[in-house]
Parts: sequence; C-alpha cells; structure tokens
Amino acid sequence: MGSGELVKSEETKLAKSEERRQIAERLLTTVNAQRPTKAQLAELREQMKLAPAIAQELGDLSLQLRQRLIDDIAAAPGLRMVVQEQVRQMANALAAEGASPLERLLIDQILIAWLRWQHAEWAMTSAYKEGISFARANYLERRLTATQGRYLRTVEGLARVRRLLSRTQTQINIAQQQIVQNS
Amino acid sequence: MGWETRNGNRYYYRKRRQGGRVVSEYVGSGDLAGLASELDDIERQQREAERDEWRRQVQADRELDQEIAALAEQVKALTAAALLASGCHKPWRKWRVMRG
Repeated sequence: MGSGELVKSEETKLAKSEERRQIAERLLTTVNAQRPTKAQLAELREQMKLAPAIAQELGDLSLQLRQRLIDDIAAAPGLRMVVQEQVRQMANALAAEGASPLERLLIDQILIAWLRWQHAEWAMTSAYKEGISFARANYLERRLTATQGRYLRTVEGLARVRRLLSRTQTQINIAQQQIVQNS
Repeated sequence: MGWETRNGNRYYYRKRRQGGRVVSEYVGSGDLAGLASELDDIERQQREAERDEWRRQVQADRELDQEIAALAEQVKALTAAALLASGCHKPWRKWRVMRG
C-alpha cells in the first residue's frame, strides 16, 4: 500500500470512527430521555440498524484493552499464556450457548473488569513485597476495592440484561446477526 | 545543602522534620562529613526517583481507568438502546419490561 493510500485509509477510519461516535451520542440522548416518546422509540429502532458498526468498534476496543491489561499483569511469556488461558476459560463459561453479540460485549466488560482487578492485586502484592508507606498502601487498597466493585457490577449487568431480554419478545440486530428472542 | 560555615570552618548538618519543626543534626566536618553528604545526596536522589515512579504509576492508573470507564459508558449506551428497542423501560432507575 502506498503512503497516499495509507493516509486515505487512515482518514476513512477516522471519519467512520467519528460517525460511530455521533451515532452513539444520538443513542445516548434517546436513552437518557426520561420518557421516550413513541416517535423517539421508532427512531431508536431505526438507529439500532447502525448498531453492528458500533458493536464491532466497541468489541475491537475491548480486545485491545484486554490485551494491554494482560501484557501489564504478565510480562513473562509463560505467565501471559496462563492469564490468556484463564481469560479464555472465563469467556467460555460466561458465554452460554448462542450468546448474543450484545451479551458478548457485556462479557468483554466483565473480562476487562476482572483483569483490572487482577492488575490492582498484582500492583499491591508487588508494592507490599518492596515495602510501602501507609499513604501508598491506602491508595492501593482503595483501588483494589474499586476494581472489585466494578467487576461485580459488570457481572450483575450481564445477569440483568439476560433476565430482561429473556422476558421480552426481542428482535435485536447487533454485529450482523439478527437475534429473535421470544418470551 | 546541609553545609554551614562557622568561624571559617565548614560543618555538615542533617536537617529533619520533628513535630512540625526543622531540626539540625550535627554530622561532622572534613572528609568524613563529605562522604556522609554524598551518601545523603544519593539517598535523596533515590527517594526522588521513587516518588517520580510512583507519580507516573498513579497517572498511568488514572488514564487506564478513564479509558475503561469511557468504553463502559459506550457499552452501557448501546445496552440501554437495545433494551429500549426491545420493549424495556427504566421508570425508577431500574430496568423493567414494559407492559402492554
């Protein structure tokens, strides 16, 4: 690929990313409306046709973040493989048969939160080994508590979405896959 | 820093904080004091480097958390949109299936 084409490809990528950001913002506005009107809901369903692109992008970002966290926690290749395997097993356990792309996005969130928690644990253990001041220990403890809390919230989030979607007659089209769920 | 000249002679003092006051502690003069001063300098530099490293770590943590939160916010928006589109609503800060 020539440098001109590369620049053009980067520009297209940026434009697409900006477009997706705008779509996400529009979705958020509708979602945040106290009581969306029928017209707003109809518009939302229309906008949801664009959800595959957003889901794809969010999935890519999640993957990048996950990888970064794994690299941070486990610098040694052997250890990295162990952590990667743990993440894979967790993902398999959480993704029940035929998990929808939306569920997969939420599972990604759980994995990221879990890795962040492990990251905080690892940072605290290493710091304690080296010996740290009370203020620093306090900071690391608070961070650990926050990451555990975030992890639990993501798990609850997935359970809530599963419960709600199982009770609605749903037709969601996310990530090029149409899922019809009947209660 | 720490060196004081009195009656034409140089003396090395260590300064430390004690109960909100700065206290001078006499170390000595001559070569031995010079060595003590150099050792103190090395220790000070090490402490500064540790402080810098800690600040860098805290900043990196903050940036990572912001990144995770930003992504979570977008996933939350998409999830909320999907729930609304599939007939759920959030009347009292809690998602429910809409009746009728």
